[in-house]
Amino acid sequence: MTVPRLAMRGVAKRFGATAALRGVDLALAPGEIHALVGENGAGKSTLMKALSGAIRPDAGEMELDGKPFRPSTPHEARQAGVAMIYQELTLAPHLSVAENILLGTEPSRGGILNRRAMRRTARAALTRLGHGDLPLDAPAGQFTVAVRQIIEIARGLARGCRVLVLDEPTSSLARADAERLFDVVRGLAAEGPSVLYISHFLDEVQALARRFTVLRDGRAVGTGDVATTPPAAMVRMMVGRDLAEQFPRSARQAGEVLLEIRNLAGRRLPREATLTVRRGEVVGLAGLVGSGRTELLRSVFGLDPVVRGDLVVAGRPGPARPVRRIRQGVGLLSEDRKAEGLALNLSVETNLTLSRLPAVFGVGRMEEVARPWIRDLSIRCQHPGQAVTHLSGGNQQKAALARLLYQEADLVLLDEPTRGVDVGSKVQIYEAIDRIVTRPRPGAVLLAGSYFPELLGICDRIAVMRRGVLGPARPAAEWTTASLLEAATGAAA
Amino acid sequence: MKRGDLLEWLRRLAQAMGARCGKALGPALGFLAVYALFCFLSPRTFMTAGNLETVARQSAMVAIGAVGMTLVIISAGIDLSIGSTMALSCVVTAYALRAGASPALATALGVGSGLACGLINGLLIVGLRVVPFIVTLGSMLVVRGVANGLASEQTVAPDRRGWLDVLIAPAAGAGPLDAMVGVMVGVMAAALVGLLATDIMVRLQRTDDDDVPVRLAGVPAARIRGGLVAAILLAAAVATVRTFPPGVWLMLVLALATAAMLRNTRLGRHIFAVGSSEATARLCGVAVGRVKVLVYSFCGACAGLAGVLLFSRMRVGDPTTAQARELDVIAAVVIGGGSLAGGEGSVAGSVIGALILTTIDVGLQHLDMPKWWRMIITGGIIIGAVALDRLRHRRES
Repeated sequence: MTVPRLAMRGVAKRFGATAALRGVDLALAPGEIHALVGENGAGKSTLMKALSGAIRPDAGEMELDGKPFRPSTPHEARQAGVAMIYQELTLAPHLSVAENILLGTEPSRGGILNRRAMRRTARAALTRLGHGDLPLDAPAGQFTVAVRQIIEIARGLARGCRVLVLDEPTSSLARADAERLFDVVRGLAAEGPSVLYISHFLDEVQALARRFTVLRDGRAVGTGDVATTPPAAMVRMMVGRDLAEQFPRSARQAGEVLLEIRNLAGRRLPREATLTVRRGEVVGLAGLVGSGRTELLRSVFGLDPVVRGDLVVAGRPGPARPVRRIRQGVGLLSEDRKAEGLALNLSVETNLTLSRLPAVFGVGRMEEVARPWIRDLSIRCQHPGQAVTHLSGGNQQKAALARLLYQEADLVLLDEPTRGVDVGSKVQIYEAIDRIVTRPRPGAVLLAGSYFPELLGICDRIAVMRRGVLGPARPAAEWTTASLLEAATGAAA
Repeated sequence: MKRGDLLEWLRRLAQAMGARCGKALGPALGFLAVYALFCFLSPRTFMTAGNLETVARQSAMVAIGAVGMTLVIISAGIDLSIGSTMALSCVVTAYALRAGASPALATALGVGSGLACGLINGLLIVGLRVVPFIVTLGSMLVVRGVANGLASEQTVAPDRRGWLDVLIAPAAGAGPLDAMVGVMVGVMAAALVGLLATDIMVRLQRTDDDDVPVRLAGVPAARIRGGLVAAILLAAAVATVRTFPPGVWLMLVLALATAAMLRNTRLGRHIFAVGSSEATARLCGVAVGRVKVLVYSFCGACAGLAGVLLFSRMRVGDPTTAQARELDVIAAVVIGGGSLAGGEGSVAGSVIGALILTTIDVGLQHLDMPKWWRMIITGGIIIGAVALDRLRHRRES
């Protein structure tokens, strides 16, 4: 066999007690487009970080064209010829297209820029990608995501990249832009660089890649030719695990309608959503990251605009701002705990009472209010006045959830409520969710998530969102992990 | 020519002019408007050549500080300590002269003290990873204290000041508008018009932005442009030297050199990259820490030079001078199009910003406005200018 462009052998990495990678093998031939697939948390992003020099693996080795490859910084990896295109693009918005492409490797003599050489190199790289007509002097920040992606790929090319890694490149692209990107990637691979393509969308993998590798629980569990492997087989490799979680669940009784969404569309996402949520039920919004689940929740809560469609919350029609929504008894738990869900520097009691605070309150009142919730949800903190930032992820999340419970929200919108949460806290969060829909005057929960076994365990009904379009909600019993994954990735289509 | 063609031509003309004058166009128009307004309000005293000289002289210090601050703000930083640095440099210069140093050595020591302050700021910001606002807030106090201690809380008055006396003094003898200056201004204006015309013709001819040299009447456009630029610089140099004291030329030379550095060197582009997206710059192998240290050092050295000019004007080293001057300097940069979020700003804009601030101050003095009115109006203009700039940004995006 010829020397592989990139070879990874036994790459392993631990973070504290959790093993993110348990020895991954991967080989990439020159000019090959190789797909890397796996569920959230399977270890894809850790593997990419090791490859890009952002982290150093604990064990295993990597080789680039037969030579040892041990990058200790992202810059070193780039110099060696591994170009990463992340989901969040890394362009300097104020610099021009040409300056971005050559940032850090500007041709110059004695510190004076050679603008002509700069333009020539940038133009050549863009031409190879079929975008030779981009204006080189325009600031990069003014272009669409699709064009910025091309500029980033050109940056990789201008440094002579040998391996191009694309991390979920189409998650924020329109269909036509995605097709154009595929053409670019195919054209590029035909010229020599190898492409490692990370995607959730199995239809894309089918269309683009020649071979694939499936990651699961930090291991490469399968590899093969795309042409001879049916999508269903790939899904089986991605899912195949024993489920040991416990999902507390009492008898529930669906009541009056609390939320009605008809043909709703946001500015970009969601594109089309229709859903009804009743008192006393937990409804799941399944979908991959970037599918539009978060945006749907935010539109309902009034954080994102509603461009089209109807929205009726607790009998009151029309969109409203978050302040009104909270008064109507709606609460939102953000997926971004650190930036949005909590005020990290403030205390547990302050966070807990933030959305339902009387104008004037006496000394110790906040603590008095917070204590029972801290006990009920077993939030582990030294005292209610402790800053939230010192708590573990699970306890932070419970504090955020306690705020919604104290607010006595009827309609509780939860976005990835168990992300980055330890197993014990997870169960406590499930219990809290169960209590919301079974209390004397039950509330309703709309829960977005991409971890399907969890959705199956705690939801009464589940609807799947894919590329901004929400499918019909069906009873949880009618779904399986595999069928959810198929619907979310479009493998069955 | 059809109507549509004409419209298209006009559109490209406007675009070409905008591209030529760049970010400084807005502030420049603002300056002209403010200046014209005061000429209209007090024609007899304000609309004189002598007054233009006063404005230029009085703005030199803030403008020099603003040149350094421009780099800091482009790199998404801030330096609150430069008012104190100016005072320290002022005291150091006076102290050195009193101790018997030559004017040249005293100047070097003054600028050097500013450079040292900036270097320490930069090293602390990079080394301790404390935000620039806090580091320079602290060093603002520290440096002010050092200046006071060095001067024993008194003004330092050297006997011999040599040429430092005339560095920023009103031009003696030759009237501000002698015949020579008139001719030079004429030459400059003509060459400037020629330059703009050449540039616009080039931009109109060029269909895509490739590197085919454009020719006008058989001569490469680049050569015409070079000749015109040389003529402008030469005429400007002669006129400036005959009209303004050395402090003003120093400011202009510093501004031109810094603008060229920002535009045409790796370092210049890296300063923009750090301010625009530090993570990206780091990923692409830009030595972010080194760029920051350089930027703060340069800003400190500029403040040091401004301190020497301050000494030249007051003829004593006063440790309490230039209180809150950093705020004027920051305002000048921001009026000139700098963004405190980084990635944006231009030296030309900042210098014009300093001119605008001085013009308003001098103009209101001419109108016999009390000082408190001047403060209110200046404050309003700072907020208004930045709000206008944001509005323009929003429309673009």
